[in-house]
Amino acid sequence: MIPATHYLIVSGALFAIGILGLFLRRNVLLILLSIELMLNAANLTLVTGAAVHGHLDGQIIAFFVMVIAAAEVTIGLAVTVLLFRKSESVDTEEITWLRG
Amino acid sequence: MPHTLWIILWLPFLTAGLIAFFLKSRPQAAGIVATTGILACFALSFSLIPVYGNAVQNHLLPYEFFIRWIPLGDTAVEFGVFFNGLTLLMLLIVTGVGALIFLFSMSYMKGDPGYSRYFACLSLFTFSMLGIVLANNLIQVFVFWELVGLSSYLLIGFWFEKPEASTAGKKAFLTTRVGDVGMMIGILMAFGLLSQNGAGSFNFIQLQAALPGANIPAFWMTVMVLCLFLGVAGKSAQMPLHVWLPDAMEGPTPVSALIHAATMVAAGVFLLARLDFLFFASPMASQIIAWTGIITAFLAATMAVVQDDIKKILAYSTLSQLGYMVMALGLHAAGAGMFHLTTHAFFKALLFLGAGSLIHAFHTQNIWEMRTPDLTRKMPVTAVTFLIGTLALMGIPPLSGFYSKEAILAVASHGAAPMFWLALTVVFLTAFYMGRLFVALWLGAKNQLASQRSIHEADWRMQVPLCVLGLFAMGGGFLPVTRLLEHAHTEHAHGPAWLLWGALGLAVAGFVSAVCLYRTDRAGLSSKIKALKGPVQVLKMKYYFDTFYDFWIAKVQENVAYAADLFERYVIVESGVNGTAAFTRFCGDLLRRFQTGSVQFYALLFCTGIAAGLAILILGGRL
Repeated sequence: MIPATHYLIVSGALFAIGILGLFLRRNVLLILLSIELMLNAANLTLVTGAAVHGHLDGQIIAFFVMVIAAAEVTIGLAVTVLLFRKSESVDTEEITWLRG
Repeated sequence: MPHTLWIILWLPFLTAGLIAFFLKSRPQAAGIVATTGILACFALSFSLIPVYGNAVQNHLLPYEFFIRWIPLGDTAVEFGVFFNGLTLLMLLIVTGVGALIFLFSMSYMKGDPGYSRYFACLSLFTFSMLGIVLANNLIQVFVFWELVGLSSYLLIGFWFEKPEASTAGKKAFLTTRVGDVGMMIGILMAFGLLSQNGAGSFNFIQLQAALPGANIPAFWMTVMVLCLFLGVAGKSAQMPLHVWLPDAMEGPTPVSALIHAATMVAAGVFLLARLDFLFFASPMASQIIAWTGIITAFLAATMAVVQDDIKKILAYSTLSQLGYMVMALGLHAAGAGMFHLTTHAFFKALLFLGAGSLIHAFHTQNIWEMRTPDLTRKMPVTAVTFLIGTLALMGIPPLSGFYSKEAILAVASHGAAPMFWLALTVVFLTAFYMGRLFVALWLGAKNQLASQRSIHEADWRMQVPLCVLGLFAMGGGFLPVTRLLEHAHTEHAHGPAWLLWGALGLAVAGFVSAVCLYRTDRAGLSSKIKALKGPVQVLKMKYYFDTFYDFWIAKVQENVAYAADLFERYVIVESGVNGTAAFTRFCGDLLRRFQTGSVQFYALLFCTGIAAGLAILILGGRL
């Protein structure tokens, strides 16, 4: 059996990749993707925890996260489409209308 | 009785409104409506005399009836009527003398484009004055006090196209306002000082009841009384707020007779008598009031000596007589003061109306241009009544002024010795300036100008008031005025035995010396006056009061105002208001830098924040 530590390492790595993607990528689509990656890293942790403790709460919360992720991506993609329509670009460098 | 009093109060207001809204273009009707209104008021006031008699017998006085106007916690500002002997006396004077002057005005103001406006203002004045007389509390007095000031302003500046008139109106309004600020402070102090014992009130009866047990420190009592007296000094034109009254002569002459001789300027004296329990509560303040009165009386009488304008002479004379009354009140002799107020209302109104009649005939106010050898033949009514007024003012028996002046001098003889001597000097001076006026009017050399013009009496509406006032100026001394004042029974001041003859002698001496001095031709006179150039100059400059006020306002006050303006502009606005704005803007500029518009920068901050928060919690051992 694979020890829980391995799962957590994979989860941490996924989260790190996701957060770096969030900070560094300039494409809105890829940023959304990075967020999905982070959410799934969290899911992996939750499921691991559930398995370790032999408790179903973690799995249930993982399902909630999936639902929220689905909703989030729906809105995120819709916003992206609108952004593209408005500024012909999905590059965050160019979308800085809220500069003070 | 409350109904009668309410009607007396509101009837002039109603006529003023009627004229203002419906009769503007119908002057004839306006005059008739206003005069009928005040005559009705007089009739109603007269009908109260038997009511008063009954009330005295049944011990119903003082009577009051009021509604709660503005509730203030335990107490309330009331609006009501107050009735006692003093009220009755003032009602009769204001409506009686007022009615005669309204009648006189109907003829005097004929043809004036502002005829309707004149009667509306005069009715408004009557309403305000009756409001003061009938008020049952200090706030109501103050409200009507201001209304009186307003109507006085409107009437002094009646011919507002004349710059002097509108300036005089403003001057009167602002000068009395100085006093009224003091009065407002005094009223609030009276309320506040009694509130400490839980007896705070504006109501006269309650104030009088609460005062003996109030245990107010003497110092604050004096300050409060002097603040109230400031209002009195403004309205009754006492030193140093007297400067507006001579200028107020720019108004129409009947206005001067009603407002600036008989009634409004007497309001201050009336208030002293109405609030005698307050004013008499501080011996120190009473002394100051008495001295203010006698000094005003003396200075005004000396200034009257050098005036050439008939109305100015009478104005200074009014100041002087008001000073007498205030002195009497300061010496706690409400009876003598109110008695003199009554007789003065008759003979001074008579003198002013006579002056109006003369001005109407001669078209000038300079007494030396009115010199005509046969005034008595051409204007018999005016001449005779004016002479009666003159003698009454000088205090020649058996005319009214003699009795009231004796009463006041008897009171003064119990005051400080210098006060008594000044009071006697004023008797001499009064006779002197009236003698001077007498010479100018009756003993003039034949004046070419005046004799060519056809000098004649005006119509009956001007003659009747003169005759009626003449009768009262003669017989007013026998009116039972003091019997109307509750506590006046007790005060029977008797002067020294020689006072009666001494005062009479002084009056005659003043008159005779004036006649001797001014009888000579003007060339001889001017050489005599030249010897007295210095003092005369001081008198002509009115003791430099106006000069000083001009200097004070233009040089001192203006500069203080300028400094205050600079302070406001630069310290308050520039550093305070704009400074706050600049600081906010500066902070905003700093914080703005964080709003880069880059969504990823926000995400970075967000994550850093969470990480930092978590780190604090974990390192702090709370998680």
